[in-house]
Amino acid sequence: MRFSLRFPLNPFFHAGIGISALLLIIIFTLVLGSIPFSEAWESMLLQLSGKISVWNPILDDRLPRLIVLFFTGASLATAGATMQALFQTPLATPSILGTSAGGSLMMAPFILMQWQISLPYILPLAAIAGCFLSLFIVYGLSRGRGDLSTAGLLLTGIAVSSLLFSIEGAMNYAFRTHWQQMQLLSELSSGSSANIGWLQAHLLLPLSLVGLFGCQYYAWELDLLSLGDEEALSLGVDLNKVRFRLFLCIALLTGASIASIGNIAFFGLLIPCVLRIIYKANHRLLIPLCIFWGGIALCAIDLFLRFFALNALTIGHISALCGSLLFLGMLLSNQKS
Amino acid sequence: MIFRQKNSSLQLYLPIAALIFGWWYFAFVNLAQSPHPSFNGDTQALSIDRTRLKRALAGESDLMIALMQEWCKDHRTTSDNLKRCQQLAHLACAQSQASRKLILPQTFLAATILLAIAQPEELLAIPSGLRSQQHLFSVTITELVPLDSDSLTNEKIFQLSPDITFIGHYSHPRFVENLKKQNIELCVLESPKNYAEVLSTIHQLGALSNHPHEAEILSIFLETALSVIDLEFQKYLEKNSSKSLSRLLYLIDYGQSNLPGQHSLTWQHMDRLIALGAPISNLFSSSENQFPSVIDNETIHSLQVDGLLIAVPPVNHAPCRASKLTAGMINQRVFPIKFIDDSIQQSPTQFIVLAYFDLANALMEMMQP
Repeated sequence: MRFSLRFPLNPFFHAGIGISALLLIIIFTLVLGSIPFSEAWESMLLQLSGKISVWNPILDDRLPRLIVLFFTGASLATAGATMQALFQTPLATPSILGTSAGGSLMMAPFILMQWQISLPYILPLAAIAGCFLSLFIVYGLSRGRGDLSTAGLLLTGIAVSSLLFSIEGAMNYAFRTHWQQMQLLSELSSGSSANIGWLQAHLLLPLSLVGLFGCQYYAWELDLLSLGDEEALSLGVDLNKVRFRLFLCIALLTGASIASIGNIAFFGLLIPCVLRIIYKANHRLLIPLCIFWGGIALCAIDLFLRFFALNALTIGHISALCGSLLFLGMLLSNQKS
Repeated sequence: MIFRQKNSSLQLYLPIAALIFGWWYFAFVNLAQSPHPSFNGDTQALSIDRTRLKRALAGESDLMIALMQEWCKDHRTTSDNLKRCQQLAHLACAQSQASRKLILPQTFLAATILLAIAQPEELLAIPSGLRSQQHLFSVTITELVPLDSDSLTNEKIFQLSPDITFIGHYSHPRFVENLKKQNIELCVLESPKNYAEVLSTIHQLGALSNHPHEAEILSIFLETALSVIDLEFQKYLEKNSSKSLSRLLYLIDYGQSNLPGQHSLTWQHMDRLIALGAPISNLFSSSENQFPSVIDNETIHSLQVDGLLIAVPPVNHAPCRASKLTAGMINQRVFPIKFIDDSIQQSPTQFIVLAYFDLANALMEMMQP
């Protein structure tokens, strides 16, 4: 199969589809749930009018979940698109600089010590700190050996990721008999949307907004960087500064996603690739498209799982399944061509 | 092309950091201001002393007999069990030095029961996780066993040359193969799924470790203790006009809330208490999952519970440490909420009695009008 599908180029057609999809996602996410919508709506109106003050499924569960899922999807897709431009390959994911590995590793000791119950903020903050720490390690090592080229960063990123994963693996092995902690680690590493609330929304939003804005701000440079380092340099891009700032944005976006939902593998690869195939757009258009469709796609996966009550699967599994199939498809397609 | 001039680093990063931390500050100050639930977790409705019961279950046979004597007086339980235990204690004492075995328990189940019926010196190693369960066995007991069974090498096992090794059906095939090659006697223990299987496992371990009398004392004590708890529970129901809990929800909470699986021992204990006449209907019986499954906030609310029983890890025994999920409900509670130790509820060993005690005690407190 060759990835050369043709889509109508009418912008109104695309905008219509996009807005319809977004509205459907919002409606279904806010309406579907264990508590009937009419009951939840009535209670919400009473709460908004200040007559009662109790937990409300729409305001306290479905709405924060919608926000978190949308911005997580947007963040991962944008981080993926940015990474693909920086590394000049459509097969790059936000995790190749070790950010995902760093986030997971930093959360593990707190879960194993069960600090997450008494300090509910500790896990998301640890994930964010881990993402930044691993990014600085990769960047510092590359800089230390005087090789800030794409290939140098990529190799250092892979080495640091492997190191961090091996440390996490060793910790998990040491605590393998503690099944409750292992279960929570497994839930977090699978990217589950269970029990998302305003805590996750507030943790995610500032990081995600800054990261998304940063990526869009450097969209023009991303176009040049995707042509190659030398071309970007010759066209006046301050390569090191732009790249470092974009890496910071990627760390913000990845850290925010891991902190709020957990690891969602391949999502950062899947969405930008599909959007590139459909729209063949430059980054000034691709980044907003990634924000929009990335958010919708993650909400749609969650709705699918909830609607069919697929309790044994998580968003992370579906994303990894689709992403890996696309990855294989692209590899085979390249081989044939 | 003209390259756009971006701001200098400090001017750029400082406002961004201020935005992020400012957002978090205002968001989390508001979230943290919600009242924290506070509970009285140390109250006890049952008259049995929990600490002494736990010590007896950990292997203090003298205390087992002393407790049974007290129960004979207080609850008029049959004295046959007591007499039988006293006879067995004499026999066990006479036989104590006769035929000791070197035992290697590889599983929690075997180690927990063997620590109660055998001398700690007979055990070559115990699982390292058992040492951290100080709410079950004191450090003074576990320190008498020098090694951790999960860190033993082939050569170390050969050096130790155990007479018998207790393994689980999930033990690593290579480990089992190595034990066979070293001609070490193996016993595969199935994880008990009910009270009868726990008793059977105790007897099996007693017979294979040359401690049949101690095993029998322990099993008689378990039966007696369970029946005493039953008696107290029934008396409570007869004397008091207890509040009905028709929509009781039992959750396991360690950051995420989970429904227990169908095979949980707590399920069986709850059924036993209901059979005694407790006005309880446990909602989790509608759970079709074989194993624990995550339950979300909205589902908990949709169940319209009238009582919430939350099993938490022992280190988080202070109930105010319940996860944010349940804390949200707790802040608005109009129904009783109790916390129990999850590690005891999930232990298919002699501590099944302590699990039953905790459950009965918690329900008695919740049913108080």
